[in-house]
Amino acid sequence: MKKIQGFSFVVLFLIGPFLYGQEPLRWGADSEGGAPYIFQDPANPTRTIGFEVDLVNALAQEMNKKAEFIQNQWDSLIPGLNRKNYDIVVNGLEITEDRKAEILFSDPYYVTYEQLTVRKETQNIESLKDCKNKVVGTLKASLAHRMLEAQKDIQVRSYDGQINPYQDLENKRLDAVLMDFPIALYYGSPNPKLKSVGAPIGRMEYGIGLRRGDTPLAHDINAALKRLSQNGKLREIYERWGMWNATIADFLNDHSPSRIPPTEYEAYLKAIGIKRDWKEKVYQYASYLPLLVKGAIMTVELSLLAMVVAVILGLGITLIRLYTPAPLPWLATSYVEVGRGTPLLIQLFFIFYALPSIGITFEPFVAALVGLGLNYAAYEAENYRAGILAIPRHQMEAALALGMSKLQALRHIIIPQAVRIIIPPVTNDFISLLKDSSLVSVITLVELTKIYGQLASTYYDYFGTGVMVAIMYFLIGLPFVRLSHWAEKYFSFDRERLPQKTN
Amino acid sequence: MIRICDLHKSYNGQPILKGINLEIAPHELTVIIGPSGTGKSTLLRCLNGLEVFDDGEVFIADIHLKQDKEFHEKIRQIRTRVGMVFQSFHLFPHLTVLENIVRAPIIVKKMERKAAENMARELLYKVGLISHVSHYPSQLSGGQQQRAAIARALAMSPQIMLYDEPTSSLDPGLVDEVLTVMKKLHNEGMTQLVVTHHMQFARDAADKIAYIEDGKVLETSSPQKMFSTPSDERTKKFLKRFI
Repeated sequence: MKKIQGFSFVVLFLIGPFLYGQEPLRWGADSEGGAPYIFQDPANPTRTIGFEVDLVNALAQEMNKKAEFIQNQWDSLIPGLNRKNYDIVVNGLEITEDRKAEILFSDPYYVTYEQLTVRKETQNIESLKDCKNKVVGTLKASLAHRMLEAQKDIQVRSYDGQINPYQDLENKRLDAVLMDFPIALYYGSPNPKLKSVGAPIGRMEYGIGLRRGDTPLAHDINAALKRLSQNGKLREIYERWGMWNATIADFLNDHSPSRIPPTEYEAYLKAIGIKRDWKEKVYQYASYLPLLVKGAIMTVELSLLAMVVAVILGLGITLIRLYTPAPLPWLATSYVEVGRGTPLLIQLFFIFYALPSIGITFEPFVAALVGLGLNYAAYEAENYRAGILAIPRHQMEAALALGMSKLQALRHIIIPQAVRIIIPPVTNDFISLLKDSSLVSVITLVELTKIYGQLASTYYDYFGTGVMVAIMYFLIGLPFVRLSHWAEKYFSFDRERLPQKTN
Repeated sequence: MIRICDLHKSYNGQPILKGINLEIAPHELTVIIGPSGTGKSTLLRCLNGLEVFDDGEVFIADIHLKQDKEFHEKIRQIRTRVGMVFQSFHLFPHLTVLENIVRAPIIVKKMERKAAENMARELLYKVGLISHVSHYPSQLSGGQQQRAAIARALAMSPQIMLYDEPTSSLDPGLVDEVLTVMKKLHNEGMTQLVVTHHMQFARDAADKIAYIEDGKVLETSSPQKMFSTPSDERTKKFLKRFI
């Protein structure tokens, strides 16, 4: 009896941690160029850091869960939440009335304002009023964007990332940039050619987004947030990241003097300020490789599988179009027209974010596979059709006259001849698919192009990283081009390949 | 062996066959002659279902073909019993000569590959192409291609062979090698129906000649009679330069 008790104790001890808090805290955010919220650590690009990473880890610890990060494009974060890719969104999501209609918000965890940034030499811009007839840049779909739109006579330019508006300001494409204070702090202030001006504009609160109806989780998170703010851990995080100021002090009602130095902010400034010699540059680029290879594997896997789907499905569509009774060919033709007549991006969005509303929910990878496969099937179908129609009609007649069925004739006589004709265009499409696969980053997958965005925005290095990624795409495509040359030869029955005529 | 009764066929309302009646005896070589565009090829293609006739009936290789529910099934049966040779050979360009011959028996008749290959070699020997087993069609002359095509049709062990102008696309020098094969088959007792413009072959090799003009059989008789005293005026006019 004692023995058994001892045994169960050991078992409980072993599996206990898994039983308790086995559900991870799955959170969605966009890490591309997202300092200080969440971004690739410049000192080690395989690591994701940011004040929100620290915040979620602290929350998870309070809630006895393990935090699990899921990457998604910023403007797709809410749709991704609603289709249950993750359970919370923590990514500088401002609490607004129209968002509240769509999702549930936790209590605010950070309060801040919009910051105006201009070039050093600019004298006459200090407030939104001064921006009349000027060109002002900001982030797409942000609160700052709406503030600017509400003003009359301001020319607004909206951007996907946080780096580019400041670059454009420096390059004089913009007269000013309006962004959340943390962004201005990390992307505007470090630039010696720019300066922050004017008083804080507006006020907004960042909240954690949850699905409507997920009140138990919201309750847990609010409780955890409260503990973090009471025990000072929340303040510590903001201090480390250099985000502690009067506004947040007011909000947390904590006006005691600063306790710890902004170590993370300083590390960030140091990392982006480093001037590297060529040797260090080589090391730096080499350090990208593990990430790039990871992205490349995703790209190759997805492209190969999608092409298999496209080639098989495309053949089916063509056979239906050419050899079945009405109305099937009409359906096949419609498929081809719609498939290639609508943008792949829209199709991916539709499959990933719209289908769940009628009960069809795919994993991100499967959704990408379905999207790319279905889209390219339309193109492959046309390739096959061209190939089959290029085979003289009498080949089919000769096969039928020998007693073959139509299907046997297709399988043994027509398609083998057509395949040879379509190898070059199909290879073409595969290379094109390889590159189109970069679109799947909109449905939370991280592939080569997304990694490029993350690395380039971390180091402000769109050139060197861009060259690396371009070379990788090229190298991935190369074996398939060689394979296609070989296949073309293998399937050919031209005189060049064959022994000389003997008569 | 073949009996064609009141066969009608039209294309887009344009009548091509206007009531064909013809009987072909077993083991005989029957030749169909007549001006171009009078429906000779169409008639031949109706016999194995490459064209579907509108009205009438055909008795061929023990099958009674007429417009009924089993039409398509019967056509497939007919095709396994009746071989066809085309004007432009229609060999499969992606397959070697041997593969051209063995594919149909293996796929349609489920013959063992080994047995099919042995049979193919025998047939190639018979048509004089045993040294070209692994050549591709593009490596053969026209005459060799047509002989390979005959071997391909024979590989299904047909009871009847149909030829649609088998020598029309050949250089004059290559015609005889094909006709020799057909005569050889005649000696072995094969029932053959040949549409041709090669009058000398018709006169020398045929057991019977049918003259078709304007979608109708105007006359059927032995070569001697056809080429000496044809009964129909139109036949006489057509054959004037050959008599």
